[in-house]
Amino acid sequence: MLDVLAIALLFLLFGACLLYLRGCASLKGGR
Amino acid sequence: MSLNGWLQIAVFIAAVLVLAKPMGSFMTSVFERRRTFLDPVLVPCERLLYRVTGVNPDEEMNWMQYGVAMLIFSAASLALTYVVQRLQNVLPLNTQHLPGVPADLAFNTAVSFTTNTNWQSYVPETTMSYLTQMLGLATHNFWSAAAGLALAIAFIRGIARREAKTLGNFWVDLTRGTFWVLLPLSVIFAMVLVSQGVVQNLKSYDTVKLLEPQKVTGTDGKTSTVTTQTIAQGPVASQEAIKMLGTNGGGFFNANSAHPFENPTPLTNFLQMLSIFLIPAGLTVTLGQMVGSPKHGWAVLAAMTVLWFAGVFTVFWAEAKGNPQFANVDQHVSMQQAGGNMEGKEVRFGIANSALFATVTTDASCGAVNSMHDSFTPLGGLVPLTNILLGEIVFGGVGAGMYGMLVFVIVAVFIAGLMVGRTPEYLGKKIESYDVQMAMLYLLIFPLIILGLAAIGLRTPAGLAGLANHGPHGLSEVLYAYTSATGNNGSAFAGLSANTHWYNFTLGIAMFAGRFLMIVPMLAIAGNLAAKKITPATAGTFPVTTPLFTVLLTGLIVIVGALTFFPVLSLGPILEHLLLRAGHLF
Repeated sequence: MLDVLAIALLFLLFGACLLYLRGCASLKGGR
Repeated sequence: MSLNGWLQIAVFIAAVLVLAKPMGSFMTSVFERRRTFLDPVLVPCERLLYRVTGVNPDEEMNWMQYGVAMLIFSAASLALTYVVQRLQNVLPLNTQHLPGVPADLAFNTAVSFTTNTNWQSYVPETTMSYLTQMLGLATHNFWSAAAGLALAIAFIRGIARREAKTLGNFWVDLTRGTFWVLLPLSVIFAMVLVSQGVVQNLKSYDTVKLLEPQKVTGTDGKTSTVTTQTIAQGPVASQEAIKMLGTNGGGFFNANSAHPFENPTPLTNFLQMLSIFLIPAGLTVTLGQMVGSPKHGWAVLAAMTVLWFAGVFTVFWAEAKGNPQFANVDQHVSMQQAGGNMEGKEVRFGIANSALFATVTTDASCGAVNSMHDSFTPLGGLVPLTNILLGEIVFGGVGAGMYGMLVFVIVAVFIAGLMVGRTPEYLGKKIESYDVQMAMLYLLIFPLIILGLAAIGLRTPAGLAGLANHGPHGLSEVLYAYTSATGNNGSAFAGLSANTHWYNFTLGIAMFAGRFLMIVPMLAIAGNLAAKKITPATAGTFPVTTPLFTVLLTGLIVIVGALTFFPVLSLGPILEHLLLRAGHLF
């Protein structure tokens, strides 16, 4: 059960990081 | 404070400053792909690796591609470490027949070593097999340091290049940082460590008979006689070398560099501290050379040295002064005793070398320890905590210290521009709103994670359950844990039982966010700077090569750190110091 939580958390964190990267890039493009 | 202690500290910083130029010049050659004396051996290995992995070394990446490549590499290597830990019971080189690492601890440790933090919620010699130590952990000591180095070089290229869309190739920078810089230094350093008595083998632990059997009372109150002792060993020297050079800090043993098998002599102690600062100090020279302004590199190095001195002076003074509660006890240094506050310190290292080690390991994002920071006086413990809270930019971690410092440089130049009423320029690049937005994002994420998670930890039963001390010292323990994790330092204040579901997951999240959420805006600044034109310097341009710049940069770092963290520090170590003087112990 904890394995599932740990792996899900890792996917979530890396996914959030990629979105964050896109967000930082769009801040520049949006101006 | 003894003269002997100050002399050792002076020799240390002199060695760092002397080695900065050759180290920095070598790294410039490596990352600008100029010829080096290692090329005949390493270029064929490099080419073979690119051929096998399908990397085109001539293909350049923009900042987003560079960031995505770094994230993919981190995710893949993190997954490997997680799997190795979970399956170590069925994998080879498990001489002690240790079980698989529990999932929450494996998560925490995998994130910890991937992010160059090396926070250890476990006792290594009773938790990790030799394979896990070597394949799961020591490899990350190379990879995470090489990734940090690559990112710093990408930032420097962003400053140096003009009207460019790209920052280099992450895979090439990662490979060259590992092959040319970290591997050769680690091999040489590991040999030196072995010559001094650091263990390097794959044997099972030895059990020896005690010369003097010991009576021990267990937690259940029962007394028993212990007649044997287990001597843990393993491939220590090979992990120890990169642990220090890569500013990783994760010990092979629980006692870290206080353990005689990790750090047996005064010489190894000196070399371990030197190896922490070697690459970060060299990077200031690399910065100056790559951006075409060597004096700028020296100005940054000067700011780092000033902040380092302030830290080591304070710890040495506080620890040498000793505990005011023991006013009637002789605490003066003499031929018979080290003097001062020796709790949690190795007698063979004494006050000066413990104070210096604590300062160096937290100035950089290393986290190795040769004394227990939890046992320092409140003001002595305040310094390691503050060093991490400043962002570990005083020399800093391999690469991470340099790019962190450069973000502060951007803000310093911006503020200087505001003060004189001109458009801020940094080495001919105009600093615009996007650069400052990203710099502020970088600076604000850090306290947000630390203070947010520490506040939650201090208000929840799960967070408070791990505390060994109450009052301001307990607050310091929780604050230090989240600070160390977010700052990717990895040293522990100790006193906190962190191997719980709560701390394993929340500290794991802090380490992840403290690494990757800060790298992204840093790369965004680098990409934006690279695309800019160079504006010729005029009389109104703020020079970044002068003592005035060094003073402004140092002042800015201290003011940002003080404004952000003084309230919480005043409730922790500062309050503890005042209460200690009033007779209260925690």
